[in-house]
Order: sequence, then C-alpha cells, then structure tokens
Amino acid sequence: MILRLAPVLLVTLLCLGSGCATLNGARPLEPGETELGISIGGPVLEFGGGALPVPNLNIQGRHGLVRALNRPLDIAYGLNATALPFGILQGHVGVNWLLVHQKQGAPALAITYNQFFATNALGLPSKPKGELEGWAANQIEANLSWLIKQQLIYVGLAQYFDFGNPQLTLTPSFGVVLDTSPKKDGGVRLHFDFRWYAVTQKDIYDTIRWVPGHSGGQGAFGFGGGISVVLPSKKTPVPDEPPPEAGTGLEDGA
Amino acid sequence: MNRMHKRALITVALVGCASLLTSCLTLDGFVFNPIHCSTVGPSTCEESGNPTWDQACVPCEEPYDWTRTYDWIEGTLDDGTPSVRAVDASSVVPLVILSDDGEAQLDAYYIPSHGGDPELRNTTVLYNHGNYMGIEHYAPRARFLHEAGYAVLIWDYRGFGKSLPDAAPTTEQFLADALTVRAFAEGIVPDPSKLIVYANSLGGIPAVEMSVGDPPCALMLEAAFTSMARISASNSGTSFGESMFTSNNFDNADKLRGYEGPLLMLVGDEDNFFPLEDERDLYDSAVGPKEFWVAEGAKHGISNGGVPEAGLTPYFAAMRSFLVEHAPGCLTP
Repeated sequence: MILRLAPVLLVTLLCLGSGCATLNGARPLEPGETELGISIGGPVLEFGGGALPVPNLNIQGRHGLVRALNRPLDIAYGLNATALPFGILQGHVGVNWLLVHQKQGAPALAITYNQFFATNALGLPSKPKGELEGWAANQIEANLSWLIKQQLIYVGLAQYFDFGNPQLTLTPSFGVVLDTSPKKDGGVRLHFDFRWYAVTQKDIYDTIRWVPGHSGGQGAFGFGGGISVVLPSKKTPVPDEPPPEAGTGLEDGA
Repeated sequence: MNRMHKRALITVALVGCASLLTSCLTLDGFVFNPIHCSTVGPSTCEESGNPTWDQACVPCEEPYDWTRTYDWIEGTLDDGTPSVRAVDASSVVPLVILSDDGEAQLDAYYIPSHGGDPELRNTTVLYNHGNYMGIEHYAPRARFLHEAGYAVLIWDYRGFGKSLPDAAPTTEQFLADALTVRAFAEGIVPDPSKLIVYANSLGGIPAVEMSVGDPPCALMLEAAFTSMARISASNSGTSFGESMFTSNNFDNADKLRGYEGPLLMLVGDEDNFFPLEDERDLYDSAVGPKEFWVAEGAKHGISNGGVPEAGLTPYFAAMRSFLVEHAPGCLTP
C-alpha cells in the first residue's frame, strides 16, 4: 500500500454514509407520532485486512406531520455525531410520504427526499489557512414495503445527487425494521439496512478501497444498523387498520 | 412534552455540546502512512508476505543496504537498461536534518553521482518520497536516479523510517520541514543552482511547498499528490472543499497557480490513485517552461508499477530531454 488518506475515508463518507444510516422512510409516521433513534454504519471499505462499514453515528428523528391525500407525510432530521468532533457540522432533513397503501401481498410504496448538508464552520478556528466551505447533496428514494405482523421489510432504490459533482448513483437497498413492542402504536424498533451504493458507477481509483468497488468493481456495499423508539401521538389516534386476511400475515400499514 | 421527549432532547443536547467542545480535533494525522524503524520486525518484513521492496526490514540501529538486489518489477529492466548498479555504500553520506522547531531529527542520505554522465555530475535530485513506510521503500527509486547519473538526496518525514520523533508530523510541521530540508540541501550539494526538486505521490506536497517561493532549476512531479478535494471527488464522487480535510490546504493545483519555474510532470496513464485529468490541472496551473510526460501502461507505483517501472530508458530520456530543452541550468555544460 502506498497511499492511505483516511481523512478522505472518513469525511467524504460522512455524508454518503448518513444516507445509509438514516431511519428508513418506507412507512411514514402518522400525524403526531415521533420516532427518535440512533444509527451507525455506512459504506463498506477494506480496512486492516477486513471489511468495515464506515462508523457514522447519526442521531435522528422523525415526526408525523399531516395526512396528505389521506396518506401520511412525516419530516425526518438528523445530525452526524461522528463528524462533530472534527469540526464538521453535518446533517440532513427530509420528508417521507406514503404514495400507495399496502393491500394484502401488494406492497406499500413510499417516497423519500432527504437534503444533506455539511460545513466546516465549527472547525475553522483550528484551521489557520482553512476557508469556510459547505457541501450539499440530496437523496431521492422509493421504497416498496411489506408490514408483516408489525415487522417491516422493504426494498428501495435511491439516487444521491452531490450538487457539486452530480452523477448517476443508483443505489438499491433492502432492510428490515423489527418492532419489539407488543403495542402497535409505539415502542422500540431495530433497524437493519443494506444497500449497494452507486451500483452504476465503476470505481477505478484505489485511494479508498470500497467493497466491492475498488479495482474496477461497481459502487460500494453499505450496511447500517440502528435503534429507535416510537412515541405515539396523543392527539391523533392511529387509524384502525383492516385485519389481515387469514393465513397471509400481511397487514395494511396505512 | 412527556418524559421520553425530555430525555431524548437532553441526550441530544449533551451529545451536541460535548461534540462542539471537542471540535478542535483535526483529520490531519490520518493523512500519513509511515512505518517507523522502531516498529520494524518480522511482521513487516519476511512474514508480511509482501515482495521485497514492500517489506520494512531495517531496524533503527542497522544501516540501509544500498546494494540490495530486488525482485525488480517485471518490465522495468526489459527496455535496454542492463542493470541498476549498486551504490557504493562508503560513498553514501548519512545526514540528520534538525527541524526549525527543534523537535525533529530528519533522517536523510546523500548519494553522490557516479560521475558517468559529465552533464549530470553536479546535479542533485532532492527526492520527496510517497506515503508509505520510509526511505527503505523508496531506495530502489533513489537508485534508479543514481543509475541515470544524478546525485540523490532523499529524506524521511517525521515518523517515517528513522526520522524522529516516531510520530507523523502535523501539516504545519510537514510544510515547515520541507522548507528546512530545501535550505539544508542547498548547503551540502555540489552546486545549489543545479538542485532538482523531485516528488513521488505524497511527496508532491513538500516538493511544491519548497519550490513555489524559490523555484529550483527544475521541479519534477511524478504521480504527484493533487489535492484532498480532488482525491475525494475521484474516489467517492463527492465535492467536499479542500478545507474540510486538513488544517492547511494541500491543494497543489492552487499552490502551483502562476508557478514560473521549469516543471516536468511524469504521470502514468493508468494511475489508480490520481486521475490523469487532475494531474493535468496541476500542469495547467503552472505558467513556466513545462512538459507533461505520460508513461503508457504505468499505474501509480511502486507496488503496482509506476512511471519508472514502466521503463527506465524512456523515463531517463524524458527527464534528460526536459532538462536540455526547458531547464538547461540543471546541467553542467
């Protein structure tokens, strides 16, 4: 190995990584519901002879805003705690909207828009020759999801646009959200998200050794895990859901 | 607001405050990838599984072997160069360069020209090596240049090889040491006006730093570092600004803007670290006599075959023709 530039590994992945480790918006929250959580993870790279997801620690939340066209819409927000000690303020804010309700085995369809931002303003005092700089990117994602006895499975497709370097970065994903609570309107959830970042991009440079991207591979695998707690709405009850058909175990999550 | 809300908000606030208080941490220390002689052992040498010139085998108390034979990368010597001669160990001058801040002792070696080429007998290449291990790793490169007829002065950055302390430099120290070494070099070489500043990869940072204020007779950048922002863009598709990475800007394209000294860029068309177009940006920044020489089939090097390993004869010829055409002051008439 000739060159190792861990700052690049760390910093450039903070933002992309947070895309992996955001709370998935496959099922937007109902108005008044709140979800708070932390997640860790990001794109996977070769490190020390093994594979390691970038350890982005995100503190995040979601809050159900309204039902638009009888479909829930929530706002999502987060702060990347890994970046802060290095003087970089990085976070995201976005919305999730359910377009199509789940009907039996037919999945629900939701869309997500996240806006990511970063600035080095916090760390400038320690950078005598540094300049104030910012960064922004967005994420547009569609997710198909199935709610099976409170447990959510989803598959998605995202596109990340770095405004300073826009490229086609289609990113398929799948994941699960395991609801550990006996209640249907709140409780602790475990999140596991796998995605293949920028599968449309061939990686021909080795400063950062993505898995499986480097040496001519495509994109980078990503893995994120998280835990969250859902606080039910006190004002607006969660709409009743039709009972599942016998034997399917599938519910309408709307 | 219920108790859960309050707890969550308090937690977020505490984490945020703690992070802000520690935001003085920098990423600079992550840039460097040295192996210090105090950590050399079987795991970095014969047990590493690496080819001979990727092995770190020389402990602090032992001298480097300038006569060592290597498993030369295939192709290097297949172009008419019959051999790379061993350096007469008794002629090598070990040096210790004291840093201006008094905290570092930089290990360095002066290898005199063999004198076989009269035009080069007074020309010294000040070699700024890449970002791995230390001088031991780049000894073959120094010997290539010695073989071509140049004298070579090669130095180790703090934390690399036998330089002290064993910790990598800060960016400020890295850049300051570059200026110190340049001044030191001019005090010991046969003819300071015939000093070529040469860089491989990361060495582009100190090489440019020590050249922009006082252009040497020639600046040669081989597979040279471009900037953190450019590397980020090429390797991850992001557009982070340069100041997000280090305390000081390492943007060589910016530093070379308006550079009027003779500049030779030596690049591989298959460089797997720095894109050719980024290297071209460095080149375009300079306004003096210059040449952009591309070695076909060359990657970043060293392990995977860089510019010299793509063929010593054309490598030597490219340097020589550049000196003749654009930097005759480096040559002895």
